[in-house]
Amino acid sequence: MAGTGLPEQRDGRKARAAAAEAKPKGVVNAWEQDPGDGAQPSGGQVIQRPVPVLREQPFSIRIVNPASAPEAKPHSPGTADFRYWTAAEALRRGADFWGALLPGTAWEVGSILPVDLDFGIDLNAFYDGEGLKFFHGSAAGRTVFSGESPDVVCHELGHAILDSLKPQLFDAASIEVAAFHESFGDMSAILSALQLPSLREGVLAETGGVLHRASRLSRLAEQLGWAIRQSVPSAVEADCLRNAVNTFFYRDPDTLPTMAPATALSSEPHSFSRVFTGAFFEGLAGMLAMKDTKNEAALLQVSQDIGVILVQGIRAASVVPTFFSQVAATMIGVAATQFSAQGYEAPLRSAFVRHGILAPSMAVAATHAPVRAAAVAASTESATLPRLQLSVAEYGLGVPSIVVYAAAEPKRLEAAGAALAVGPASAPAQDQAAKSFFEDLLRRGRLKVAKAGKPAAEVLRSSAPLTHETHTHELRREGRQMVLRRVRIDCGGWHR
Amino acid sequence: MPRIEEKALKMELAKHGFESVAVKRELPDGRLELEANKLHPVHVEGGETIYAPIPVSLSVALDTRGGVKSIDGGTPNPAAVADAARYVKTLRESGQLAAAGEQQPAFGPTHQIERDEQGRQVLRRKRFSIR
Repeated sequence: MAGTGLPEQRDGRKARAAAAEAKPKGVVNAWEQDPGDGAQPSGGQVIQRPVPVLREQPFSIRIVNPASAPEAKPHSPGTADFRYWTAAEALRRGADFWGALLPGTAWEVGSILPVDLDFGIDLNAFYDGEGLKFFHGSAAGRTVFSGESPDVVCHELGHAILDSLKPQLFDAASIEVAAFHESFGDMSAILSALQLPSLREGVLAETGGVLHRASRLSRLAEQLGWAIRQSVPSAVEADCLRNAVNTFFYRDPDTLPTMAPATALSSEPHSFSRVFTGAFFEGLAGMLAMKDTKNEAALLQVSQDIGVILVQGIRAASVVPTFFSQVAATMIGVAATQFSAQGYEAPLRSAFVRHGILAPSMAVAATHAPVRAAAVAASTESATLPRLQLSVAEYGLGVPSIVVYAAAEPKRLEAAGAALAVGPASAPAQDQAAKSFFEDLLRRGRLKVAKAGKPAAEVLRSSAPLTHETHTHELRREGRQMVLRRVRIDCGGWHR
Repeated sequence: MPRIEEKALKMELAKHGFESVAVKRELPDGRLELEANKLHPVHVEGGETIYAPIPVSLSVALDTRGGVKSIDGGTPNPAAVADAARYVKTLRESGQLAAAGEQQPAFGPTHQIERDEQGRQVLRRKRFSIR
């Protein structure tokens, strides 16, 4: 009813009404996510969006180059006017997404974030603590503008957002902190893209509802990746700059080379960031898999929920050399306490374990009080391989130990895998090897825990087929003991 | 904590070498738990020493006027110092670190070594790039 309510409520209504009146009408054309499509530099989807208003809160933005906005109407791809509005649309969409999660947060650079859409010649884009800068460059006779890709725009915007959320990270001299900043940029591109209904519908159709598959959502910056690939093929992935659906497993950055082709992991922050982004994307896919209905509305909800979890995880995480695990553990804690009804904790935990960011025992500890490790009991004889009593209290299985058949026959050849630095890796003791094997099963989601055990540590695979089981091992109760038994050999290792 | 007090606290802590200070929470005894970066010498290849901003945790007790009465912690731990040394190595080997006095190209490395007013070589980030 008009004229009722508290004065501040009436003022709020007036302000909203004034803002609505000031909003330009009409639509603009824009790229949905990137001008490129997979390995091709073109073929991206053009969409129509409401005219974006950059000066609006939250997170006001101003495009300083070009100095004036072209007419707000649908322009054709390939024109400067189209590039302006596609960048403006992505900036506003990303700022709106993060602004809803970070009320009251201001840019670290000041009240308005300045954006230069063509700062010079380079196949790159920057956030430099003053603003965002995009470039143009040539490859195979084609000119590529980095500011034309919503993926690239929302990645850079992500740096500015994280700088506002946790300014300490900008300058911190730490490999994982720098890599996390890059990962946040990629996560920002993914989550901002998911705010588009057309992309949600498109990616669900493209992946058959199984989000953890390479798609236009997981592939970041296809066109820029193509342009770089023309001169340095090994510097980028085969069909984009970086792909969030990956199998990279955490390593201590100290054990990695400082540079490597895109197919391998290095301690270079962009390369190393893929470990966290891969786990995040898998967690996102797993969260969607928990939904009864996997439609675009559910995907929108999941994208917003994981945004809440991520922001709170970052806020609470301590800035230490192992920053990935700090953020992951706090995210699991947030999921367990604030989203218990949605069941998000298990898929997130599984994703971080499967990418090695958290050890299974640490992942369980993130939600449960640490369990004291039980002493290893004496082993008993076996007709086949030696039986070993393995302490597993820390994995939250509800039993202090399990029985495994250890590979403890004498070595026939004195051989070992190569260490990452120099020489062979030292051979582990029997119980250590058995425990490594068991933990590896957990990480890869290949272990099914029988109902008798408490499945807190069971790791779920978001890409697992729905029609049949693919786990290779089970924990079965046999008499008074839980025994690890192989149930099948899966030759589809590529399926993860 | 009101913003003005936080600003004053940051200025006070800057005198002790702390940068990018953020208040995490107020402890039950009234002290403030903080996160910050502290410039700390890192020995890199060739016997060179570079001061790098290293993440630290600290707590401060404030006097009745809001001034810093005492500081606990704030010393980088060995793991963080080793991490910083590896980081400098990675930056150098991936071409992302410009030397002191070197003209910073407009689209160049993400980091630069700068000389501060005390003549120290300090590692500073200039930008993030997408690749």
